[in-house]
Amino acid sequence: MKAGTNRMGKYILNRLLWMIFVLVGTAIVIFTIMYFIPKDIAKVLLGSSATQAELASLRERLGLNDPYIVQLLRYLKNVFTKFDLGKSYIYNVPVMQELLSRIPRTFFIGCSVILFDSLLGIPLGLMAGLNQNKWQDALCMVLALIFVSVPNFWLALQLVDIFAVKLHWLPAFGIGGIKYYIMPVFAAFVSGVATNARQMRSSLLDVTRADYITSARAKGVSERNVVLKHMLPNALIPVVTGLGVGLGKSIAGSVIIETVFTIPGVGMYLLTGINNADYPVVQGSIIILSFFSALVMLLLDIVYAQVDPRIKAQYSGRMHGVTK
Amino acid sequence: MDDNNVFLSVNDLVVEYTSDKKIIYAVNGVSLKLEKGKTLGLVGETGAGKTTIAKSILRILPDPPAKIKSGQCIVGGEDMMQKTEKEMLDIRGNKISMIFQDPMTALNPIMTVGEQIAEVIKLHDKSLNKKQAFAKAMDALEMVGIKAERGGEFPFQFSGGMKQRVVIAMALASNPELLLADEPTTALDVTIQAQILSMIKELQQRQNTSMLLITHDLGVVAETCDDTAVIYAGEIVESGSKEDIFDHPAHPYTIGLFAALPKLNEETDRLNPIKGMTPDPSELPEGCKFHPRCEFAEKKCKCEQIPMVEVSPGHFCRCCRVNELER
Amino acid sequence: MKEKKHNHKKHNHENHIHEEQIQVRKKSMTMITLKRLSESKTAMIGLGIIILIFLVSLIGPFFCKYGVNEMIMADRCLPPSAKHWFGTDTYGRDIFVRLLYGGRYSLILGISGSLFGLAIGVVLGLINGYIGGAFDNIFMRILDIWSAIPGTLLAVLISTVLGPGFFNTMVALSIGSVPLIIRLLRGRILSVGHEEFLEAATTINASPFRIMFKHMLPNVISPVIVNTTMSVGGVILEAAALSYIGLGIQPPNPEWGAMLSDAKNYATYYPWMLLFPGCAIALVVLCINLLGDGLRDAIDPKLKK
Repeated sequence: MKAGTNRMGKYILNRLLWMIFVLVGTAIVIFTIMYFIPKDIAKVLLGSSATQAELASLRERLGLNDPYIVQLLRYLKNVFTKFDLGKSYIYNVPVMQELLSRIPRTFFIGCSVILFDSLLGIPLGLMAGLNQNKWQDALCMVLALIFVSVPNFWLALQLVDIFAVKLHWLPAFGIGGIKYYIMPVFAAFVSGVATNARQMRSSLLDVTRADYITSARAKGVSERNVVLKHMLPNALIPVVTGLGVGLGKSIAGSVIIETVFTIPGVGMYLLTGINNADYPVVQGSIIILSFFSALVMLLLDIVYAQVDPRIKAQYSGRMHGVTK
Repeated sequence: MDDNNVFLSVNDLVVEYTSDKKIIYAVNGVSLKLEKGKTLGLVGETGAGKTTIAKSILRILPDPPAKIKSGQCIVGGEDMMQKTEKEMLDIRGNKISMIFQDPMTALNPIMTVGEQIAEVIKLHDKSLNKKQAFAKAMDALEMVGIKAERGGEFPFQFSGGMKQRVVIAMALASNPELLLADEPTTALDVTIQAQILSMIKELQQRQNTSMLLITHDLGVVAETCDDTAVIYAGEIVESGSKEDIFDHPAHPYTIGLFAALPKLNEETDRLNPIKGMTPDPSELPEGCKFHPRCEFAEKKCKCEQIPMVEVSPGHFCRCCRVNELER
Repeated sequence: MKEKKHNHKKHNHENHIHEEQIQVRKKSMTMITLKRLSESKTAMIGLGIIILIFLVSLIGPFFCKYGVNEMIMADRCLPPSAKHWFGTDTYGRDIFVRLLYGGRYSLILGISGSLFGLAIGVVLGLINGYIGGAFDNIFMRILDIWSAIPGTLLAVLISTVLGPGFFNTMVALSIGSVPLIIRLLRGRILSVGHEEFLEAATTINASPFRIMFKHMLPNVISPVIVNTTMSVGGVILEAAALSYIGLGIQPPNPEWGAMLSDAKNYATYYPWMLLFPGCAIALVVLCINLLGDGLRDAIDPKLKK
């Protein structure tokens, strides 16, 4: 079993190195896209009344006159050595400082959403798949279909109307205790739960027909253990992959949900940045959200390797019978 | 055949599938007998109902869509059809084991092969702890010629032939009295086929296991079996000792099967396949199921239910013209 | 990898003989798929409603009493009635008429956004499949970075840079879907056998363009089609979300998300302003998902029973 831990270590190390590469790449891509904004930033900031001299001095101060590659390298150096994402044009506050206070809120929403997505979606899909073509299945799948089709911000607005305005059970917006997060998290996770349930159901139905399930039955494994020990672990593999895709959605979804509930998180900051043409804010927020997404992806990769030994074994250097 | 020594006897087994409101008549009154320690070869084309028979004996057919309509499967004096599901759990993998056709997919891809063998051992010997079961699993691996240290590896790390050895180790791990081998070598390379067959044969003899060998390959039957039954469209059309079938085939279908084999000692340009296609199992022909393809078919073949006729002692044939045709 | 080696062994001469046969089989496969699809009641209901909504949103406005941006000050904030079926908004505009107009945006944006992503993905995927080798390695690493930025964020970023407008929004919405399409194609190309296409095509002297689009594409496209159909609903939701936060389609254009954004502050007093656009989005997305599910089952029928 020692070889197993060693193998896992190698795998995690490999994924970590890989993540650093992806992070740098992501930063380059985001910087480059932002670089091509067809607006003169100095003009946007100073307004149309500014003189040529004022514009020129601002451009010089912001380093906008340097060639692309110099600006890029400076930005990367600042981000990865000093954790400096630049200063807000409007408020003149370091973006990183502002983000640090906001990250926990977004992180909290994002993680809760992923947690609920899997904790509710997987069992529901399992129940539907095991009762294929019975009422539980039909009910689950009709609900899932409806919930993947409803826009989450609309659902959020309806929730506010019902639970905050009409019933006064929950606060409509802002931050505070845990009850401020109930509606945002709920509005953000329902579509993910629905997606996971659908994915879980179809991958379970796939596995149900597999030969190794018949051979487990032929061994005398009880129906309960056939499901728990043979079907479930195999059916989970594509679901874990699906979680990664859903993750991106839920992080980006935080931008919209935070807007609806006026939660001062990274998403809200990003949107203020967009509305004010405050590009360091936009750039910094998107980079942070992408980093967060990459981090959770890494965790999912590790989970994935746990459920699917084929991934881990690539790092053990011992592969047999690759050819038929 | 000595009736007192019969270990497995399938009597009038009828199995149907329902699919899209159509009824598929997969097995239509099949009876088989197999003696203790002997091997019965069940020969037939794809879709003739061979695998369904094996799965019926173990009662692992998915219900729905499959339904065992009637019949008995008596193994060692006990009718499997009368057992509760709980009793069956004890029998499967213990008293009766099955080897599956495709070793590529018959093993759980995310469990080590050792765990998979240990699982069946532990299920049927509750006194063992995990470690002991695993140790026994390693013995089973050694038995099929795989080094014990590879027990911690996953199926994808094995080649096809090695996987089939693992499947065999799993099936034989708890010394079954009856082994159902469903085309155990079809998915393998020809060179590996021979190795696997002789290994199954040797282990079977050592443990005095009875074996029902399902195959479409007459060569495999010639090498391994004592008795043979030929199945066509869910019915046994001919049964008897291997010598009966190979030296004096009586049913036109069996004769056709042998005629379709390439002959090494004769110079031929083409093979002689049996004309026509196997019938659609949801719309089986009346009377003899083989009559649309049979060159000897007569009027009575089309409307009568044809009974089994004893051609010589122990050699049965389901053909109404067998006595006229015999040369 | 296993597949590749296996296919490599196959006889060369089979390849060109089969070209015509493959064409025939391909056609009949499409027919079979369509036939199966037409047998699915739910998919047909979905398709029917989508076509109905689309037609009504194209033709309907010509028969309406009110213009799409016609403000009737006397009729502000009216609840649904015989005069204004879905009520009016804060500017006295008829919500039903605006919904009809908005249907064009949502449907066309959803479909064109998915198709644009599909087109980019297919071209890049085929080129990558054609070249393969070291190029494939590098390309996959680029793709990893591309897909590390969540799709909606990429859409937000690109529509910020490009600015509002229909075409820009479409581009922004489609970029995020490209990596998945390329991956799906790549998986299929690998499993069908990359070399076989090249060998087959070289024997008949086909041009690279012909090889990619005539030989590779028909063999690898089906999972991508299912994926794209399923994604149209998501794109519509994303488009609505973009308009809701003020990017994408801009007011006074009656995009459904933009209408929701207009209405959000009045939800308590005038719930119909929020209810109808939201239901419209949900209905269209639901129908597209029904159609997508049906198509998936039709192409891969084993999932159904």
